[in-house]
Amino acid sequence: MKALLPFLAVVFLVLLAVVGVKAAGLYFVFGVAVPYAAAAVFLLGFVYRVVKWGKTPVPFHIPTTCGQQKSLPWIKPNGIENPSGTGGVVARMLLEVFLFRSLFKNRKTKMKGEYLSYSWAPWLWLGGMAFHWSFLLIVVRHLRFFFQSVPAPVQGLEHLDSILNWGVPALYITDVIFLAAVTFLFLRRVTLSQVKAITLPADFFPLFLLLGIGCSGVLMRYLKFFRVDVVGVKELVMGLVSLHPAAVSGIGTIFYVHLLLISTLFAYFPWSKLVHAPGVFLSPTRNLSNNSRVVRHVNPWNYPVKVHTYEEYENDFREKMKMAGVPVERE
Amino acid sequence: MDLKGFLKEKRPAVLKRWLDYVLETYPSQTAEMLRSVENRFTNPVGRIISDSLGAVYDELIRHMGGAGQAPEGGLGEFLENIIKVRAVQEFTASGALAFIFSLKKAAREEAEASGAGCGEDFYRQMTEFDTLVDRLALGAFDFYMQCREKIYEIKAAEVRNQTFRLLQQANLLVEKKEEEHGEEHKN
Amino acid sequence: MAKEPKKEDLLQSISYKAPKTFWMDTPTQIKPGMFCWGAKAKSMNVVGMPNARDWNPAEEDWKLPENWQEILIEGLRERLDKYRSLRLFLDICVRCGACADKCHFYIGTGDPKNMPVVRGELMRSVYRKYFTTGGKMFGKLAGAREMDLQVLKEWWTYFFQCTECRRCSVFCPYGIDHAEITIAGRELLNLLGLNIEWIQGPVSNCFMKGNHLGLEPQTIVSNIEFMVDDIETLTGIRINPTFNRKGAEILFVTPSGDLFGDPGVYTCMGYLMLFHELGLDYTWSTYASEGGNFGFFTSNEMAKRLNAKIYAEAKRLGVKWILGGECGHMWRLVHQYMNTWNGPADFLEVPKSPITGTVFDNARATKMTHIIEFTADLMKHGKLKLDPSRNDHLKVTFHDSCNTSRGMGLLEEPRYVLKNVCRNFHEMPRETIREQTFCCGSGSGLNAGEDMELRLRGGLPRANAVKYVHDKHGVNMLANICAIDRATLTASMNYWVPGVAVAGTHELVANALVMKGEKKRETDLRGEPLPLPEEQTNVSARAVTEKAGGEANV
Repeated sequence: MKALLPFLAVVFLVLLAVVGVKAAGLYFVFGVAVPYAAAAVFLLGFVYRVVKWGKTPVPFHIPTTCGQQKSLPWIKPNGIENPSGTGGVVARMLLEVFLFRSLFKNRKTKMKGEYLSYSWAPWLWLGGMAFHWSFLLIVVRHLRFFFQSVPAPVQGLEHLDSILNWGVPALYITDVIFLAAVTFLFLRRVTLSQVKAITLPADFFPLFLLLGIGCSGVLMRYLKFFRVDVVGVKELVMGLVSLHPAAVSGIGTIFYVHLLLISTLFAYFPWSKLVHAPGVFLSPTRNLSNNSRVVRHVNPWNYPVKVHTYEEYENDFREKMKMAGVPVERE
Repeated sequence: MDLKGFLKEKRPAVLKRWLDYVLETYPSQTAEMLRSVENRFTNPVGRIISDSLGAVYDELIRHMGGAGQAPEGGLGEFLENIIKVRAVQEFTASGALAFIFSLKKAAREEAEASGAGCGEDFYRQMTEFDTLVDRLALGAFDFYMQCREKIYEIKAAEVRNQTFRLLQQANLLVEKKEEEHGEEHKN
Repeated sequence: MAKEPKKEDLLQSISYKAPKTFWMDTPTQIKPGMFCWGAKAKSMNVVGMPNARDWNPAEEDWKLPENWQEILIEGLRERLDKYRSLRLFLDICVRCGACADKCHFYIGTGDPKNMPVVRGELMRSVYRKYFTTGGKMFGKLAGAREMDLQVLKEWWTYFFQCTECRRCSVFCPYGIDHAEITIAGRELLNLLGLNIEWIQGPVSNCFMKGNHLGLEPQTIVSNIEFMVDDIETLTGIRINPTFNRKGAEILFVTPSGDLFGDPGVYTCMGYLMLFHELGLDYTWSTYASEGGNFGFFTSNEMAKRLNAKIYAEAKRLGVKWILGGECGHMWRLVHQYMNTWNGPADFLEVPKSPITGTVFDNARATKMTHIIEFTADLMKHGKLKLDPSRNDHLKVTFHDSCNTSRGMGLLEEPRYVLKNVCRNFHEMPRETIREQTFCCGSGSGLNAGEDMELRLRGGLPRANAVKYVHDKHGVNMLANICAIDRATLTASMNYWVPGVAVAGTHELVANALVMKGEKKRETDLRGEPLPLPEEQTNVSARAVTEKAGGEANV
């Protein structure tokens, strides 16, 4: 049920693009205005979010330590899981951002006969890695539309990605992985009881968007029926990036579906959970080194508080202290 | 086939029905969690429940037919682990123990489903089986009470421990040692 | 639990099937055994808490101020601007579910609202409603909801069913720490006077008298005198500790639970014996007589108010540095908060062991060293004469406290110390120790009596791992470095794994410590007879082989 409305929303977007372009011929709206608007919303929103977090102070030094601290010289510290300096923090963040280190830790113990065996529960990690990396590579591949002459690294990536050399045009491996990973992430939300219990409509919406984006892209590339005018696409995109936008007709409707879903994703990004992408860099349990006993962490809004002073304490208990032989300040 | 043989053969099916009845006593999302992970350390409650039911079931079958006598002290002890868990969950006493009787239901349903539930002898055997289950429930009730008493004992002990020195200073701790030794004998 | 059923309910109560609803649509019930008594007006007034009155959580009327919603939302707004952790963690959770089965309360209760992610959603849903455009526009569809009385009671129930142990944050890909949510949640609840008495009472005690138990100076002295008598009986050595002594080199601060409670007192005797043997120039303080800090479970400000005594007293007495006893949350605060709150401690010197000359550079700024670090250093330098065979009657395992493992990384030091004083040491399974350790189930001020069912359920994952080594290796002693562990694991073991006792690490150190001029010891610190020599040889042979296996067998 929670999936239905987000699904309908994406269907609505698809129809909107089809009707808008095919029936109403609003090439400029869907080819230029919407992408620009989305880019603007994305940029402003993204900056707003990051600035807002950045301006919020980190009053306390709260890294989550996941290994041995640096203490006595003969005890080997775990410099990455419990970093004592910037180098360790950078390494920890890199592992977290590029390899999803914490998700990787997800282990489950099973009894094999009488003995314990540690099996690792990597599915979420694997699904997450597959999705994020294939998405990234696909985005990089799309850079071919953003440059007059395609940069060599992009060409190299395209070559590697199609190395299986299946079909014409050659199948991109990342396309398959992307669709499979998004499908997996969707399926675990509707099948695993624990995940089902915590899922909100807002979790389905981006998944459907991504599925829509992936499917429209794949149809465009591999199915003759949907094939679009790539030269026209490049012309449109180059116009957009060079800030000399011009509506291009005759590209093929499905391209506008693809573009509208991408625009929606971008516009939606800063206002949703998708902000975890920049957010992870600012996470105080991960990006601080465990050196709070070595360097004083300053809280910018630290303020004086009412305490019960020793003097007040002694006034309360002076006689009793004297009786017990505890030294006092004033006899 | 006699009932004992039937229950042996249909062990997985009857146990599954029984487990379903037990899990029904939990809120649905809790039940799903208890059912989903088979892991001693990360889902101890689920593991204890399914392990205990299996052990109790086997023990019951062992005592069926032939000698037909429950062991000294009843069958309750095999239920200890699961009762211990249910004694700290949000059940009334009846709620904590009702699941035992659903074994009767599970066995009958399975017999019906597989067409084994006919004949006068079968009926007689079923009655014997019911008696064993009832005996099991009585034993479980004793143990449930022990658990609840233990909780109150722990609460009392904690208050005493928190003020251990004070009591010691006031020479009020004499009986403590005796109690501890008493407990050791029990265990 | 244990509520007397009404007669007419009996027949209807046969079915225990609950409706299948989304957590947001499942109303919260405040169940006996699962919650703690509400804070009393008397305790609240001592430290000037708002809305001080006597109230009962089980009653419908919580006697809230009329504009409570406004107070709460404004309070949330203020904290969103003060804590990046809170704002960020409310914004970036993707509900991937990695944390779901990592919480001991979820594992022990199976209640979906005890999944860390849902505990976060309790606040996140309200945050969306009042602070995000999407939430304001789309309401429930965007996972947003109004702050109403039902939600308030849900907050109260579940923010007091979290021990701030931070296990979830180990597994979260963004490091979301639900302790931060709980801490903020409890601060907000405290704006409405919704603390629990088990926290509020100790807080007011600690504020006025210097320690949670409310021990007055003469009681502290006589308690320690009493331990000194016991030590004399045991060893024939008379120890003369000092109190509030100016000019001592070291101020010693430890949780007050160890001055009074069983088995904490044995740990405390361990400190006394160790310090005496070293001839340490140290003093106790009756004013800074609490290492723990239940203020932290109330609000950041309250924690700071209580913590201030430690540096203030160090300054007044003119000590060079501070040594801290075995305690969990105390050490999270000393390590991560104290210097920020009440520093800089520039009137102190960098801690330096007068025995080994080791400079504790890792405490350069706070000037406070953990006693386990101190003792490990002594042992490494061979400064202690130890007879580990005196612990041969014990098969020991070690419980990492949440705070010292995940908020500090104090993992090897206690193990090093234990392996020096015990010959039978067995680790629990890897995913239940070190940074993945399971909470005792009663931390963050939930170690009351009235919520015993909650505590036992939350303690099950830890107990279950202990039971494993108890069955497999015959472990009968659960060592730890936390005063709350000593008290609460005793209860949990008593219920789940009878036959396993609980001890502070320095109790075991003192058992093994051969003191100059001591008489032949016949018992350990608890008065249990020491193992006989012929048993010793057998056990030690076994211990050697087991030790060779080391951690491989866990």
